[in-house]
Amino acid sequence: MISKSVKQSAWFFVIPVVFLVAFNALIPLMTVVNYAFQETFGDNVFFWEGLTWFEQVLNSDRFHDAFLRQIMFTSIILLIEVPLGIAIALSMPRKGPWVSVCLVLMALPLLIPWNVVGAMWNIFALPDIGLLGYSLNAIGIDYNFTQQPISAWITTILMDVWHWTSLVVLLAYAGLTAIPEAYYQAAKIDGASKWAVFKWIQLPKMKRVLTIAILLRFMDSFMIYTELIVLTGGGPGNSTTLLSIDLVKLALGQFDLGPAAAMSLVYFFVVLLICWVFYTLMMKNEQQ
Amino acid sequence: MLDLSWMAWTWPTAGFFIFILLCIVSMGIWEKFSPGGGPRRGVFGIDTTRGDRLFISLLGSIFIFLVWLWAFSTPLWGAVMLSFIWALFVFLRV
Amino acid sequence: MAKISLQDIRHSYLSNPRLDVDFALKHIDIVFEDGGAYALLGPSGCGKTTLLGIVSGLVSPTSGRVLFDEDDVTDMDTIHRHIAQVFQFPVIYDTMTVFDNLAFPLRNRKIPETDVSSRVLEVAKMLDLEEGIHRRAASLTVDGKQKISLGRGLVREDVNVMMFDEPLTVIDQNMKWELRSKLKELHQNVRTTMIYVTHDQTEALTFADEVLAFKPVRQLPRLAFVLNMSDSVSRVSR
Ligand SMILES: Nc1ncnc2c1ncn2[C@@H]1O[C@H](COP(=O)(O)OP(=O)(O)OP(=O)(O)O)[C@@H](O)[C@H]1O
Ligand SMILES: [Mg+2]
Repeated sequence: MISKSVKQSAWFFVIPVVFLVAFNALIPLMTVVNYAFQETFGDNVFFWEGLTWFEQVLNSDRFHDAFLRQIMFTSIILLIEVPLGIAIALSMPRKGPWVSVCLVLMALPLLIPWNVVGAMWNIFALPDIGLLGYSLNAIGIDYNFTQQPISAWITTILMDVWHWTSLVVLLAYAGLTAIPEAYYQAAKIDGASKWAVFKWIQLPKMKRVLTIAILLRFMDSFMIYTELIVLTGGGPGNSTTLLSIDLVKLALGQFDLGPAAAMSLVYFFVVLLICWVFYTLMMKNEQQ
Repeated sequence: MLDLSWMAWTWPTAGFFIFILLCIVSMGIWEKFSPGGGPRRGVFGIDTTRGDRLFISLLGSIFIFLVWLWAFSTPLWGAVMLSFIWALFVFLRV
Repeated sequence: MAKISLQDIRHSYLSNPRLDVDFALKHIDIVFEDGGAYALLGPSGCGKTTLLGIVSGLVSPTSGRVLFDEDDVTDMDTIHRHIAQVFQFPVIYDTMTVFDNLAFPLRNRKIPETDVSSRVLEVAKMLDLEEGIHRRAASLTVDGKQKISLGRGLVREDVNVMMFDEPLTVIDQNMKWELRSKLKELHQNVRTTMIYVTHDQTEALTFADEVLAFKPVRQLPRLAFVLNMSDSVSRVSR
């Protein structure tokens, strides 16, 4: 049993954070809850609607479709980015002058503003003038992401992988460099293969940072908006309309604040639930 | 005075937040008068403290409400009942 | 099993060493006879760990040759040298059970599972690890973990040499004495060459047939790193 010693003065230091969280998370969240139960036509005039919007959202095909697309998108990028990120981190040098070169190269995509990422990929992939689009068509592959849903999906996923794999790489690399040399030496003495070293030393030691990487990528992919709106705008048709895009279309495009608020709450709870389940599962084996 | 009318408060939603706040405060009082100690291992094989159990109860209840609303629409009395049973189960067994 | 000879070994951790002080091992010429029990004695930082690394192939010497019997193994990698080495601080595979930890060096060498399990149980018994052998190794205390490290060094029977780098530092006094006598007993039974590093004289003398003492040559008190230059090793035989 753990005996807790509580120092009251510690609370004092938490106050700034409390204020920060209150202003950037709690108050907006409360407002969204309030909006979700009301109808407004502007001018701060609201009418009580009860659970109408929630029922509407839960039964709307539009929400279901956006939700399914979102789940599919998130699963695909996680399945690509996590293994790829680990593989790149493993192949990066652990010491020497190339370390900083690699780190800077890896960090570059993360430093580019999101709308620029979208614009870059948009131009890169354009079938008539973009390098990627043009060359694909030149070698006989029918590719046009502004017309074909499949092409649009592939482009979106490529963009996300290009943009965010670095995050997984950097986190995994940090985990790798924290492993003491003695572990590798012991593994050599024990005659462990490369795969055994990965499975029994590197992966377990990276578990915590990978948990964080997966959670971050999961949540961020649920929030993907800027890059996607610039690249495909959610099209062609609704084929790449993921949750955030749908939400913004609803809230700002149609000024349906109530339904949009209800939708974002449902969406928030789903993210919260998945994160909680994932985190609990990852940490479950930790203490035994 | 700050103009908070944009937050569009209503009594039912305020009531909801007051309820959450009361839950947290009463958990604090409960902990003060009868400390719950460290985490325990429950039926799902996960270690939870009282705070975790409150979180699981609330999150679970939200999904009970959503599913009920989706499947049976209003009134929600059944969902309220189920949520209480769920919370009771979580606090006793998880 | 083999006779191990170190011929004219020099080692520096710098990429282009020039002065004598750049060398962690300045000049080493030793022969470890097959089946002997040796202790390496010397102050901290004098290059004991480096020397073991050179024998096991974890460190490749700047110059000089390592021979196992008559074979030059200087460029051979660790796995093919068939050696066992225990480090100063516990290294365990957290996610494995105690049993799997001990079995790891054997399984990596494709030894049949029945032999693995009898061998592991034997070593576990010797080190008093039988209780909770199927628990996660991460749950053990630090001496438990060090015993696992030690056990992984002891499970293999085909080794040329077993090397122990201050293996008992983290283990408490009573157990230290017990484990040391067990190692000694093991040596008498199996007659594998053993090299035991320590900076404790009694420990060296109780364990070994022969004690090799590193001694700094020139003492320039102003420069602490001069102690690294162990360019002569003296032998104390009993
Ligand atoms: N990986 C390394 N890189 C650079 N220098 C090293 C490295 N390992 C050891 N050294 C240096 O080489 C010298 C010899 O080190 P070594 O670890 O062999 O000494 P030791 O006798 O084992 O000491 P201790 O009793 O503290 O374990 C020391 O001066 C040390 O600082
Ligand atoms: Mg040492």
